[in-house]
Amino acid sequence: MPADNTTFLGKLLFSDQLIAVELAGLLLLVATIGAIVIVRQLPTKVSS
Amino acid sequence: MLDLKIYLILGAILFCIGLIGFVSRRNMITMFLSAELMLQGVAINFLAFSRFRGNLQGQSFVLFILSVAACEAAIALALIVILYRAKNSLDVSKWQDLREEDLEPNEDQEILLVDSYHIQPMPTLPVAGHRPAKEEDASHV
Repeated sequence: MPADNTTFLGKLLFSDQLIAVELAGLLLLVATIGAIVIVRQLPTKVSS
Repeated sequence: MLDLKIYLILGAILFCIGLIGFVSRRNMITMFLSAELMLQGVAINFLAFSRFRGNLQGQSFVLFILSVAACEAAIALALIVILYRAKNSLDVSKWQDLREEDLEPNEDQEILLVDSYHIQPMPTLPVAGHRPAKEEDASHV
């Protein structure tokens, strides 16, 4: 049954692989911050 | 019930499309999308095997693959943005100075559109047998 499949998948994700799910969330956060840092244009220094 | 073979063929087709697109295009965004296509072909293989074996590990692994692919997309698009700012072009061949030291640059070659068969001279037969004696030579004899 597809619904049972989704149910068991959710139970598996949040019981056995809870640490991996948390790490994936942390990875997404770090990637977002990293992308923003890479793309951000630094103010150009005025060479005197 | 669909056969397992169909899913595997779909995954292989996606992987081949991604591979061909990756090696034949120079646009950075197109190459990146082709790499993503290869990744999803592999993910479809994971899903098919996990579904037909009744094993949930593969499906959960594909969820992690997708989250990592999302991170990769964010970083790759950021890199594409700064590369575009540096050269004002998305062409990867503008970055050939990043190659190794002992490699020659890969330069474009002009494709000859005119058929080269009509440019070449017609073939001539080689001279066979003795050359006939000229009149001066014949007077000496």
